[in-house]
Amino acid sequence: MTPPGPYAQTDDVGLLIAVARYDGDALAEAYRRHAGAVFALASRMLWERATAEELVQEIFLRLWEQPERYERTRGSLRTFLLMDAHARCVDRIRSDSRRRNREERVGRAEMAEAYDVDLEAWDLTLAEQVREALDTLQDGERAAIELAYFGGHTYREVANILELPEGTVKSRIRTGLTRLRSQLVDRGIDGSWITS
Amino acid sequence: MDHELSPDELESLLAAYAIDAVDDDERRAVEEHLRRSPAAADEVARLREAAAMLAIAGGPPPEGLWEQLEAKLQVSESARPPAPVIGIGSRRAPSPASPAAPAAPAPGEGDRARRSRRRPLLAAVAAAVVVLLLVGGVIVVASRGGNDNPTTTAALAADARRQPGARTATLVDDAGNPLATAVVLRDGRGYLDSSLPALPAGRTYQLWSVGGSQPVSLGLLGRAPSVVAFAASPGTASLAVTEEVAGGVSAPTRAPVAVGEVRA
Repeated sequence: MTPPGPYAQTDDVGLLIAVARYDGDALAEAYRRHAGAVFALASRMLWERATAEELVQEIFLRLWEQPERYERTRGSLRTFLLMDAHARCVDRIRSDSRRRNREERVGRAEMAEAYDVDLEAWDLTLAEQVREALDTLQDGERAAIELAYFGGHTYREVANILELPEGTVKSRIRTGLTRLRSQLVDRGIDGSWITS
Repeated sequence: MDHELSPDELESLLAAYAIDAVDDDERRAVEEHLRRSPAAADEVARLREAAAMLAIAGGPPPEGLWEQLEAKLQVSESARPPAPVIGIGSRRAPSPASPAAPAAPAPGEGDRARRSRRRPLLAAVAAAVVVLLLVGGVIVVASRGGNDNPTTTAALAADARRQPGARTATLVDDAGNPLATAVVLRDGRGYLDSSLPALPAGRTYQLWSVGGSQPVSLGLLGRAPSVVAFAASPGTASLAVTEEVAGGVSAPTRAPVAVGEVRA
């Protein structure tokens, strides 16, 4: 990746305005800031480096072609890119799963543990805070959320895997995410938690 | 799904929906619900911010991936007409490594490559394709037509002044020296003709519509603007130009270098 360019000091909204004008330098800066996170998520969900790389390209090409899909009021650019990547990964996992047996998928989800990916310096403090916030989740909430989020399972599938009623899984996902949210707000890492 | 979901059922699905953990039927039902319920949409946005934290893992992207991506941008670039060397927002001459903004199509100009880039609903906005970004309640109008051809734009601007209902503005600095003139047509199309001094690299002029509760960006003018097309709300009361960091800002960061009221 190239060193910081002319947009190093521009905020994410400014980048989007420039991307909307087909400014490649602005896209490069958005990539520099957020591609690592998108790649880490895709790698963890898809388990194949080549597929994860493909997905990163797909996400940033979409940003290039359709920057207006991003709405600032609905969260930070990073959240938008991660949600976009997440939805695409889920699509791939679900179409893939038609050819895979259930055991293998469960195995994949159980392997999905540990936040041991290298973090950039700017991420470290934040990562620590997020770990602390995650630690406040109850085990049941955390299991349900991680199976759904990283495993790409529906809450119904999670209920099957964990042998719990569907309603229980739905409410664990909700209380868990809500708790995570308020923890993060308490720690002052709300909303535009990282823009540069 | 064999039954309509009740409001309670829909509410109970919001968190699962926020992390894509619902099936296709449920997703469609929730999305329909979100269109009717701003509160539910806000809730999903909040939960998504939290969910994004789960993906905190960072690290650099793989070596060489950006170069592959950039090559794909250039493929789509090659379908575009060459950008004029002088133009709005051209921070430097286009090079193979940096896709330049395409020329703004003039109304009636038949260029298939350019047209293919225009979004159909917005194509009615003649001089530039406009992208709306909602920025904390402020609508940022980014002109996606970048490098206007100065000759064509100047001709259009001259023509615009003769249109019925055209309103004009003279933008002056603190001392009252005129630095730019503008014309705004009934449909909101506008042109700004300026003699603003050139800025150093890394800076740009940005045009704003003022008079409402907050300034609304009408786009970036580049370092050395001459004649620029923009799209404003037809009722725009005043225009202002600020100097900002290249790439622009969502709200002005300093006092304007020139302001002027738009008058009939």
